[in-house]
Amino acid sequence: MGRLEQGGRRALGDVGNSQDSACPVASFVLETIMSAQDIKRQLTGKFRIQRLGRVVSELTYYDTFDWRLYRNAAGLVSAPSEGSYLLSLVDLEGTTRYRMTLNSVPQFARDLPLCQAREALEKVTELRRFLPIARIERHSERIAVLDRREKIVTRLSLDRDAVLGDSTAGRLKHLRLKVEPLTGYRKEYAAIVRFLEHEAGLVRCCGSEVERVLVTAGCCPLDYTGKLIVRLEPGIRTDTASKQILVQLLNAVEANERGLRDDLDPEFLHDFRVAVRRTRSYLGQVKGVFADDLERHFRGEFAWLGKLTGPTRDLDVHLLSIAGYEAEFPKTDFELMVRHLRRRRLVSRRRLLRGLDTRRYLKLKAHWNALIGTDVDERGPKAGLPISEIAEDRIARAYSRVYKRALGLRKETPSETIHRLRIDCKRLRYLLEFFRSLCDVQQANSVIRSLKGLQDRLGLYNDLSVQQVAVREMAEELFARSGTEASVFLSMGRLIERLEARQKLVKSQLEKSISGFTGEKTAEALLELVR
Amino acid sequence: MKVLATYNLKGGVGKTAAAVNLGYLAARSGFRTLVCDLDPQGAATYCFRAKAKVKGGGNQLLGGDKWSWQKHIRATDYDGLDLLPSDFSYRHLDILLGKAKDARRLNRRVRSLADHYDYLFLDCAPSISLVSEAVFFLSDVLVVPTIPTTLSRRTLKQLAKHLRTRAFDVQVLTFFSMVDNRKLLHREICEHAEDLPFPVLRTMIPCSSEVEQMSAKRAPLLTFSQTGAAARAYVGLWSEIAGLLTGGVPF
Ligand SMILES: Nc1ncnc2c1ncn2[C@@H]1O[C@H](COP(=O)(O)OP(=O)(O)OP(=O)(O)O)[C@@H](O)[C@H]1O
Ligand SMILES: [Mg+2]
Repeated sequence: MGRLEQGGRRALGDVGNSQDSACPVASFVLETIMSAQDIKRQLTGKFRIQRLGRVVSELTYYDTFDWRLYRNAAGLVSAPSEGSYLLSLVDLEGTTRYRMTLNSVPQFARDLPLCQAREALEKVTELRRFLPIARIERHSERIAVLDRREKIVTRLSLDRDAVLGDSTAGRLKHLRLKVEPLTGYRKEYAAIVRFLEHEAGLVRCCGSEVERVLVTAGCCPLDYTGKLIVRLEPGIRTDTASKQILVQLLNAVEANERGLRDDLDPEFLHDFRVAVRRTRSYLGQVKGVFADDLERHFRGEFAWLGKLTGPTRDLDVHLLSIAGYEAEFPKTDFELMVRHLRRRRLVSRRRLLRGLDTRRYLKLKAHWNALIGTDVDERGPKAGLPISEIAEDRIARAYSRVYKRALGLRKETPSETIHRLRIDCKRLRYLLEFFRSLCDVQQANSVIRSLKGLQDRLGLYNDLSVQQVAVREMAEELFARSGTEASVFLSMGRLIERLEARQKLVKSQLEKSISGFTGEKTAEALLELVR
Repeated sequence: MKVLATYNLKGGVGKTAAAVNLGYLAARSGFRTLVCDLDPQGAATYCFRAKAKVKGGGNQLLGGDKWSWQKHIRATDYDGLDLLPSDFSYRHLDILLGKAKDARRLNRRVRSLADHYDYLFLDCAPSISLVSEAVFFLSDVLVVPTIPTTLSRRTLKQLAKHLRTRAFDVQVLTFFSMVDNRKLLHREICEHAEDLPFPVLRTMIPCSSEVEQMSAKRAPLLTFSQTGAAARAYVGLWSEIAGLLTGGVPF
């Protein structure tokens, strides 16, 4: 599942009718209601003004849990209007790039009608759900500037926002004056902006409108990312550094728990699992930080947690991947397979949720938190060594393991070996992510990039095996229940064939990724890295 | 993007009233909409209080650089609704469009707006000319207002024949316009809508002084009358058309 690069600001690109895109909404700060009155008076003296009346709108801002819209300089805002919803895709300045009226607010980008905006949003949000993150009530007093023909040439709006749904609800905050450019009337817009800036002496709002709204509503944009970002000082003790990393991972586990329980989108479980696996991998690879029995205990507990989440995740992946084969099966057969997988997912999710409700899980979190949340010196043999030393050593070892195994790969290599290579790669990848801040950034990124290519293929290879097993199981279950049409089994046979063929293809492509990874450039970068 | 043209060979049947009001309603339901005033008389342009281009001299739709005609697009007073004002030079369009190449070019120009608009409404002058040929060629739907008289039945048949002989691939929807229920003839023709050569929409626009006021107020009907019979009829007409185009409105 691709992750967005931070600060990737191009995604919205030229969505929307922004023939005047160089000409955004201009906002000005107003200190008090008094200054609003004053501005209106000044405008009236200078321009032909028409009051368009007041409107109150209830706006809900949406983003994904990991702020994909915000990261891409966009916001999604809905407002109820006449029994339906007006949905606007805005840029951070608050300029509307795309508007549409819908019968309900879409939960995912794929729920939108086919249009440019949907295309852009799907690319950015992928599987993630839109979550309501802020609700405000906007009181706008709208004013039009007219030309001699009484035609509106610019629209102004005096906005006051009140946050809904929190303790400060109802209090009006943020008074500002917005000037909206209209297509074909740029000169008139520029004249108004000039007037407000130079003659009325108003100050332009700095920063983005979306951010202002979110912060006012008590949100903390970018407070979650699936990426692990830890800044370590090379000289610090290994136990201190380890705790810094492990606390972040525990935070990620806890952050994703709610969405996982509510099944908002599959990425919550995915990120939850990744945080658990990273924790386990850390404990397995950086041994000797805590007392030996403690390390063993928590390794076991995190392994249990990882196992608990496995089956549901596999089914998520399976459901996503067979969606790609839909066109190749008779509709009823395909639906039957999907229904079956959904049922199994429901069962495995129930088991997962029961696991999360156990005392074992609560205890795990509490005890783990107690251990890593304090900054006392630990008693493990490696606890006092500088982290950079440990990091170098671990990365070098992990790399040579991957390197050896990858070079030994042949056409006839059995899938267990490939599976082991996948695990080795994952270990190395995690180490690089844990210790990225200790490495030369460019080198680390270049190694991670070439590792990623290899890992993606290995992961796909593995998923395809898991799915073949799952289809076989599904066939057996349906067969045991009887009453299933023969055509369904034929379809399943065909699906297995497709998966097999695809797996073969992936295997043949593996070689290329491997030579990329074992090539001199990567090896050199790695040597630089761990030196 | 869907391109709709309000068209009829006959003048004064309510083409401009339909283009203005349907355009307004499309924008009100959230669609990005552009009304193109292709009639040199500029009735739609007047209604939106915009300035028509009188200097002419150019052939904005065809010549010049790629953006030359987008440059002339103006926002109307209503959210999401833009206007391409009438241009005196459209008088010469006929001559320009004499070449098939130019009709294709016009089509490309219009389709290049697809990134910016969901709906285009072309308000045409009443004639069969090279301009209307181009309109038949590039529109998805011709919306044909028809006053329920014997003569208009003949005009519709003429249009049907013309479209058939030239094999234009355009959907035609008619609706009854300026219907006066006190007139027996109107009632009779409306009741026998199946005699007409095109599908007839259920909604009829009644004869109403409110519609006439549009040119005095220089605004779409719905902005000053929401509950009048004509206003309600336009709302019905739009939801019927949008329903046919998108399988339900909104979206
Ligand atoms: N439903 C109606 N009831 C009463 N008057 C109407 C109605 N519709 C249009 N009119 C009036 O009839 C006249 C012609 O209408 P409109 O301009 O819409 O027709 P048109 O087909 O565009 O005309 P032209 O062929 O000149 O372009 C206008 O004065 C308009 O106000
Ligand atoms: Mg007209």
